[in-house]
Amino acid sequence: MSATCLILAIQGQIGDNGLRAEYDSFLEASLAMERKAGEGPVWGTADKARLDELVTRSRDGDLAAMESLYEMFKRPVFGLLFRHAQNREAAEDLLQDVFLKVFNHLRNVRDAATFPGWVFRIAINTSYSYLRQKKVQADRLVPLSDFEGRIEASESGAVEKDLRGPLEEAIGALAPRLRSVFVLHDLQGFKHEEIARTLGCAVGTSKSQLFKARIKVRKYLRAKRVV
Amino acid sequence: MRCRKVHGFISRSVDGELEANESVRLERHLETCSECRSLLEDLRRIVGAAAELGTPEPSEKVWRNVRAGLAGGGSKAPVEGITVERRPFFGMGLPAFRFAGAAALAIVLIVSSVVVGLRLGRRTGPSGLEAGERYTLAKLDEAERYYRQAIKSLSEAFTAGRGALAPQVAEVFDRNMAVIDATIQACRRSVLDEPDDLEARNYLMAAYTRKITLLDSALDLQRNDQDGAGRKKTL
Repeated sequence: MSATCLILAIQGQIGDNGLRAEYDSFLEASLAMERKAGEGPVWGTADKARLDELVTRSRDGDLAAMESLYEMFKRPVFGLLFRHAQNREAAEDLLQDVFLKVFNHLRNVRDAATFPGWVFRIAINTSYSYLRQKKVQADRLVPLSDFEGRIEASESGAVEKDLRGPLEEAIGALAPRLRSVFVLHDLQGFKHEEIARTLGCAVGTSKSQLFKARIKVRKYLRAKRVV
Repeated sequence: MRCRKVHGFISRSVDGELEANESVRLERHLETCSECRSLLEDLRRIVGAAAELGTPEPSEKVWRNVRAGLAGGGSKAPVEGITVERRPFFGMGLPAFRFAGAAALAIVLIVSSVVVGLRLGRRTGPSGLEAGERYTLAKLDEAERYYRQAIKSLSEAFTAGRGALAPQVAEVFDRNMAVIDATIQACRRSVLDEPDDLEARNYLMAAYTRKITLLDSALDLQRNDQDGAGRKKTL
């Protein structure tokens, strides 16, 4: 069963389903990302006890604790959403949706150790919903999607120097599922075990989808004569 | 060894997960297969470049909107000692501009939930349908008024500080705004043609949201330019 199904299966309730994610691995991957971003040790101060405390306080409605949780997770979650939405504005809207869902359903998280994986599940689910909605809207109303395209063009016009720009395009051209695996593994440093748990698939599937994604990215870049 | 089998080795080799004996077998194959050699080189380059792709930082307005959504969206009351910033009503002076976008987005959520609720409610029987739609349309009218008020406030704030924006940014802003305004006009024409079409109304609301978001982003840029670095959040 996919993560999407797991979340949607409980109508009106987004729960962690008792699935215990590998907390340490999630923490490690996100920590590595934060350190790489060179923005200070935000995650570095977030040991297990700290996360437990923040989740408990947030569950009780403590806004300061919620803001701390948001600060911890915003960058890795935004990275995932941004690669799916391929549009900063839309990704920010999705980030907002994700954290509203997270905080409004936090009472369903029975164990703080499941929190990081649960947040990423919600983020992936929200991304897929957005992509489905975008596809439907694209068939019906042209002007809004035109607008999105123009904003993107005006924002990213100067990034075509090396592999970066074409690589972003290639990632954007991947099917959502392959994109999730590629982004989580190759951009955010998650292990296949975490990806499998987050997406609700087997480890072997995560590995084969990663290879498939890489091959597709390569094919795209070769067509552009970048590699 | 066949190329197909080597592909598995190549993928794992890129991730540094190959056993020593597998590594030897791969090397042996690569000596004679230029295609697999090229594949390995490309994948190493792709994976290396992917790891270097940065993640953009979301703007500060996201947390403001989340907080506004939580304050108005039925989450538990904050614990004692933590104050929630109240959202001022539109048109009550400059600080109101800052929250106008968030407030309008909150209205959208409320209106959307009303619309969704009514659509689900249709299953219960045809008798409630007309009254339900009338109520929804009235709510959408009300939401539109709030949107327009929010846009007016944000536009005034933006115009007052427009000089703070770099000319190129102002140019991009104008171009995007022109597209959004064209969208709003097109949506409004559809709504005027078919006032009872809830879908057309929803698209109009989405276009208004776009406009509010763009104005809010422009105000953020103005503030950053004026204040220097934005407020740093700490744990």
